[in-house]
Amino acid sequence: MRRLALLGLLILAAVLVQTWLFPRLLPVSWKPDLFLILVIYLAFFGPFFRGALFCFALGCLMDAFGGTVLGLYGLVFTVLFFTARVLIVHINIETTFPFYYMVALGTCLELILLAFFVIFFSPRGGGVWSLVTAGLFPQTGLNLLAAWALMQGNLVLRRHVGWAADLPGPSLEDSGI
Amino acid sequence: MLDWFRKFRKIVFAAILLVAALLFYSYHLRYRDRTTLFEKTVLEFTAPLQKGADYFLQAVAGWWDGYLWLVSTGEENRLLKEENRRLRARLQELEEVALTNERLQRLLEFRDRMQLSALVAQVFAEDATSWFRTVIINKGSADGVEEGMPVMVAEGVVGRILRVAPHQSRVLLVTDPSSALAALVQKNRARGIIRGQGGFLTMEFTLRQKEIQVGDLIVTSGGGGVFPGGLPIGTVVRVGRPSYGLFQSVTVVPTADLFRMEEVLVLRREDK
Repeated sequence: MRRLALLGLLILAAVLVQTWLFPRLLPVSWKPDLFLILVIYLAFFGPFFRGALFCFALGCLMDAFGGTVLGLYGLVFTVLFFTARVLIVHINIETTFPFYYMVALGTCLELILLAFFVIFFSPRGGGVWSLVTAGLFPQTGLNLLAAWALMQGNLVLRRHVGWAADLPGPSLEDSGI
Repeated sequence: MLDWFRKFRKIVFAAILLVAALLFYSYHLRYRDRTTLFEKTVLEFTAPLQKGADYFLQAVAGWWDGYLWLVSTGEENRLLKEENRRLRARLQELEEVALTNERLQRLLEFRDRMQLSALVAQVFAEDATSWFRTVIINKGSADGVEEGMPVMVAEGVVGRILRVAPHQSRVLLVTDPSSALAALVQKNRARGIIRGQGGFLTMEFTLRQKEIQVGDLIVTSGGGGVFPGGLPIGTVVRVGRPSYGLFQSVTVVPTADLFRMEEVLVLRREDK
């Protein structure tokens, strides 16, 4: 129950930061995709069935906050979750590096999936491709930066704050914090 | 059978969820111009939070500007600086009022000039994604706002209403990749379709023999049934004429500053 409440608060904070704080702080229209980072986090450290459903719900929420057709991000995040789950079977998730690697990979995959679903399913989606190709590198950089900050926050919280000790995350021994 | 299902339950679950997600998306794609109950609820419930956060930031910024930077000054200047602070705060307040007044005045003048019945709305939040260009305004169906209504500022076209909740609406900006509107070059009436490209616009399907130059103003043509004709959209910044083909490629920068908007005008349906 406490984990669920924590997750709800986390999502609310991500929504606020992404729709209100980032547009005011960042001088460009690119902003870190906190929801994507959450999806990768769930794929790494969350349960399979609930995690998948949660990612779909998170995507639908993103659609409502992003002005896209309802279900677009739901589909994209679900595909991302399963792809990440398949890939992480073969890697060691005890360290933080694979997480960052997957965030970068997830950003590229997200853009490809978005462009695919928008262009092939919508007659008016042609412009997305140019936007996606132009924004691939800045978006990946921003996402990596945000992922690093969030992961450091996760490690610090788990080490120093009692109630956050059971938050899922990489091994504390290898983190150096 | 049960053993098979147990063995492959994750794969079966993933396949079912993916197909369901795809069907969910394609269903809503068909009704993309309608606002769903889910979207209305999300807009309605989170808007107060976003407005509250906006108010909080303004209050903190005001406090910081007006007081905090004076805390460390010496006692001998305290009275003078206190006076100075009050005056500066007052001046800033007045400047802000003057700027708001100026912006609203421009909007009202524009509305009178265009003889349009319009609603002034405030922008308070932006799109959660980096790939789509939408903003949220503080007027909704309770104020008479409907999906498809054009949105303007005095400088030019902003976009159209995409989703409507009772007290908030989402505006699809002209720079969004899914946005397209009929336009013409003001000078020679060359026609084309203005399409969003994220930060700028392109004018497509403009015949290559039409003479278009950098600096030309692009206005709405009135076709398409959303925007009235003659509203400024943007200025031409680049013209490319390929050696073959029917059309030329025209890059346009919006006349309105879509990155930093505070108030907008929603044009009512009867004015179309």
